[in-house]
Amino acid sequence: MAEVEVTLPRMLARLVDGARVVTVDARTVFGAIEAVVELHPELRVHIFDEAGEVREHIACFHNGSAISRDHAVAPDDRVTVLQAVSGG
Amino acid sequence: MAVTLGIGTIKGAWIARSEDREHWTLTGPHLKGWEVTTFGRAPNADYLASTGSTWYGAAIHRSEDLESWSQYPDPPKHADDRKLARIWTLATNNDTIYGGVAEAGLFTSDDGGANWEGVDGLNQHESQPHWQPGLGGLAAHRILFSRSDPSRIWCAISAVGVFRSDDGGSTWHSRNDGVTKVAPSEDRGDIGFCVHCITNDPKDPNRLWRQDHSGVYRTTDGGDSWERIENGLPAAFGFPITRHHHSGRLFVVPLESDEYRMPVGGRLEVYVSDDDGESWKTSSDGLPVDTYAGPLRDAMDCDQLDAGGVYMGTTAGAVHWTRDGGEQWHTLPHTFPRISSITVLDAN
Repeated sequence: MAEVEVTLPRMLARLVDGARVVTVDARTVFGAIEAVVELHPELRVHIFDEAGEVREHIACFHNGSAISRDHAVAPDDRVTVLQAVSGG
Repeated sequence: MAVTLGIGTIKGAWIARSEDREHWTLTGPHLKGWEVTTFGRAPNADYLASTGSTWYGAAIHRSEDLESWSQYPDPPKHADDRKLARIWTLATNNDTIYGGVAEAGLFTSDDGGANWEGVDGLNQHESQPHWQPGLGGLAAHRILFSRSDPSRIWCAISAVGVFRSDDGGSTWHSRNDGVTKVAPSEDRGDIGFCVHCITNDPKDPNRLWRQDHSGVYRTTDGGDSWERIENGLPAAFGFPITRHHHSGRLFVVPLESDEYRMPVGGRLEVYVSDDDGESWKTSSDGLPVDTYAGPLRDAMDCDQLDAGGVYMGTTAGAVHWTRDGGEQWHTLPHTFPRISSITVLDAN
């Protein structure tokens, strides 16, 4: 397990306690996001769709690069949940 | 006569309060950045608001004071792979909240909105595999109850039609005879009706009125048969229809055809009927001219006070209201984002 920082988009952060960066222990990018959702269950419906997949218009980055959700994380890595550039 | 209004827009909610329905104070934006698609009241008097987002999906929030909002983790969820695209309506009947959603479905909550169960008799209706969406999606957008007959419930789904249950929601039947279909299908005579909004006489389980894609209708047999009521209207297309139950006055906002969907001739007009829809007349003094935006289906509501207050919001972000049943209209001095919903939250 590695301690990583997960950055939330502003709209989702405001739904919980307002903190945009949440520190969690995880092994993968997906595990880090799951850990954040465990802390804040209200976020699950906004990040994952009914099939359990990350929503179509949300992007997840690892240390600034787009990668698969099963990519392993190392201590002090950064995971960013990003609102896709779509919509108006 | 004090009124609290919820104004839901594509970028958040505003709350308007008035002690006299003349002077208003405004707070907001609440739930900033989220489309607020509708409001409701829980049985315990909590305020409810549903949000939607292109990116983040739909959810339900509660508030005790209209200032601090908290989100329930679990919104309604279909039992199959149908997705929750939007929450269109939250209607409370006794101890139960009914939620109408897209992709079309009806759900109930007996704990104030925290947990939801599907109404299988409608969600798994034998016609459901044939349901097709309208421009606004495949939406269960209006639920009505009868005070005199608790077992009778109506649910309006576009572009499918009106369904009625006579056993408290266990079984449902299409009730659209007499309405012109918008999605002709030879093999399914019971669906393909694009109902935009319905209202009813809560004291009479047989009387409803309907603004449909194809025109304005009424029924005097609970929906078994419908007849057109368009005498005096400049156009039959429109979205909301509401009723002041004390006087019986009906309100619609005609728009020019389904192709254009704008106030006829650039004049936003409300038409009223005092004879159950037999005839209509304009009642629009005070409404702006040279206006090309009207209200969506959930953006008109009546406060049901003795002197009827009616409130509507437009897609151009204006809020108009009357405190005398439509004799004179007024406009809030604010421009909001596109308005999705106007709901009377308190009136006394």
